[in-house]
Amino acid sequence: MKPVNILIADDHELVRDGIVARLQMEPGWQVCALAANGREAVELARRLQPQVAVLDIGMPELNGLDATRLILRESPQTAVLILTLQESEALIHAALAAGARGYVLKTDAARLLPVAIAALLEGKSFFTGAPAEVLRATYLLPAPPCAMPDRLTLREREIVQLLAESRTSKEIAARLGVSVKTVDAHRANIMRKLNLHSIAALVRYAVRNGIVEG
Amino acid sequence: MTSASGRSSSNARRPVAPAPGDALSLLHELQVHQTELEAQNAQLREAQAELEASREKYFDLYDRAPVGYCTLSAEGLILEANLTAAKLLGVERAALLREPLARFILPPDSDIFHRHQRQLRETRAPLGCDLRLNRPDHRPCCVHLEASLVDGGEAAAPVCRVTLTDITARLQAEVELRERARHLAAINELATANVALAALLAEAVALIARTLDVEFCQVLELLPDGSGLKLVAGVGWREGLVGHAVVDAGLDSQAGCTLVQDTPVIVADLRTETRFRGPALLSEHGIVSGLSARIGLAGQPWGVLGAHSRRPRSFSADEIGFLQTAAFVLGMAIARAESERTKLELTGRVLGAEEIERRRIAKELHDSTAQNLVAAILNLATLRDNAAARDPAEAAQLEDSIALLENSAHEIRTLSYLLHPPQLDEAGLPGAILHYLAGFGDRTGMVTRAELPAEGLRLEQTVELALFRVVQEALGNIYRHAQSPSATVRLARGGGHIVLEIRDEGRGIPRQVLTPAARQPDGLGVGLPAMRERLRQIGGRLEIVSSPAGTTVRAVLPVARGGA
Repeated sequence: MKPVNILIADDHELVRDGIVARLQMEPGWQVCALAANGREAVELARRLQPQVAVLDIGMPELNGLDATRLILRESPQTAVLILTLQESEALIHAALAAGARGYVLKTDAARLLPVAIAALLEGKSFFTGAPAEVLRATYLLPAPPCAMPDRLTLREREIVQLLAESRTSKEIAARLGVSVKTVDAHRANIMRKLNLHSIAALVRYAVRNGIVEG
Repeated sequence: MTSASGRSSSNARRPVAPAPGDALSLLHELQVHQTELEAQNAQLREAQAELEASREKYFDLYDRAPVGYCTLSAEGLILEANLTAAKLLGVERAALLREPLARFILPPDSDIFHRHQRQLRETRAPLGCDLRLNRPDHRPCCVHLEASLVDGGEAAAPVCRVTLTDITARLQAEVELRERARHLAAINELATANVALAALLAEAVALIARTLDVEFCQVLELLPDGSGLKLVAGVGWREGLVGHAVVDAGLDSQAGCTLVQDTPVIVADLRTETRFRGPALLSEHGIVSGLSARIGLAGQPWGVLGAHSRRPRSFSADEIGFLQTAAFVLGMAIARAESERTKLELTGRVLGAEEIERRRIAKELHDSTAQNLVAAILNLATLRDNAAARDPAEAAQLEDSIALLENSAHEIRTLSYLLHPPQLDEAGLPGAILHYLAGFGDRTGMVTRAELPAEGLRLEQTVELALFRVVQEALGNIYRHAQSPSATVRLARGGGHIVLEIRDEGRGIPRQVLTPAARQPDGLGVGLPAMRERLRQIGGRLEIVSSPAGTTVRAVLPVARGGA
């Protein structure tokens, strides 16, 4: 039987190693790739087409939620599991909206990660955190406040994150494999769409909309 | 009498021819009588002359005494009066006679006089009262009237002797003193009142103008570069000048001169003034006289307090002292306002620095400590699984360690979250409140309710953080003190305001607890007084309404400041 290929993306090396050690205990599972940020994860997923991708949310260059979207575009059969320290109704909704099939809190990882991956491999979803809180929150406030806005395209959101991380147009162009002119055009579009006039305002937007962490 | 006896002795030395018999002795006797009568006559003439002189002296004293005298008949008619009395009553003496004194008393006071007269005749003891006179020239005049009854002679009713003392000046002075004391007290009150400096100065100039009876009064503040003095508060000045006009601070101007002088500068008539040029601002308003005093701050000149008039006038020592005192009091008020501003600024900076520090710690806990714990837990879980088959005891021990670390990781996560809720950045205030309230309900077992704007609400980061801290603080108080079964948080936008309310159904806050500015030593809270300060800085206010049926903490912010 072919082993199950799993991709791990987390910017914390120790956590990454811990996850690897934990998953290698499971027979038939194999960590095929390790990524330190969302962009690496997308590239590795495109090349390796893993069955499962375990992604942190807060990562440099490309956050876990946008990486989820890109991975599902590049490798549609991959099941994405979000593994994060953050726990909020808005984030769970955002993860669902991005196409993730699971959401596990890192503090529960030792117990729940193998269970969650197993569920995903069976084609099911797996969401934890504090279910009671999430349920209550959903009950009290049907519309999640400020979920990921769809005003920007995915490409624009990628550029927003890189701009918010203080990267120049040239750096962004190199990273995305496009021309500087294209990046500048995207950049102008973004500022116009969001009616922003400074990079500081763009950073604020990125933080508020979960594209980067504050 | 020596002169009479001298003359009689010289007569006695005259040779008298002895006469025989009675006729001779009678003649002699007659001669002696004649001499004596002549002497007595001379004595009488002298006595009369003396009496005349003494009478004149008496009338002179009577008429010119500083006190008015008059005698009233039993009916109250003036029988006689001295010149002073006539002058006081404002009528020629001749016109007073046989007139009732009551006619010369101001109608509102006539009752006082009638009561006085009745009581005088009943008790027959000297009695006084204060009256206002009704002078034909309408000049205000107050007198103290002192009356006593004296025997009017045989069969006549007793007459009433009256003295009238002019107390107009005394009463005037008393009124002025009272007035001035009242105004100074008002200024003092202003100086200690907790109103904005601008309002204080505006009230003060109006008050000073009234007190000194001048049309113009103003506070000039020295510009930071010393180039001029700005009209920061004033009355009487043309519209649009206060807050804008700048006058010369040169030594050839009254204001400039006042700045460098320890005593007030007085201008009785600007038109004949040689020390200063009359600045355009004064001449434009037709001002000719004025008084100005320096306002100092920490030993440095801060500005000038001035009072001006269109009339040429002098200023009394009292008035000069008054303005100087007023300038001093205002200087203290300004110093107080400055230190208050500094304090607020510092508090704001401390709170701001605290937020930055909290955020840093929160991030550190989240990004490093919690992640390391997660890694350790994962490693221990691997070890545990490895050990499970060969050494169940070791596996159990590792399992315990994992449980401990998992607890710690949860605690760290909660702590990090309390220090700086990530939802605030991501989902805004409503999301953060909702999340916090859910966790609060779980931790305390209280029933929590949230009433939040359905459309979501994004505010400035500082505003969101300040309001969120109010929620944390108020909920913390409810948990610790209120013994309430429930807590409700309401956030609403409307009427140009953002209103945040935290309600409970607890036992209420004791009155004495509502005031202290003490920082709460326990927990993460900084106390509601600090929250109140914080809100004031961002343009809002904090209200606390408490009764034994529950407490509502309400934060209100103008929406213009809160729009994101």
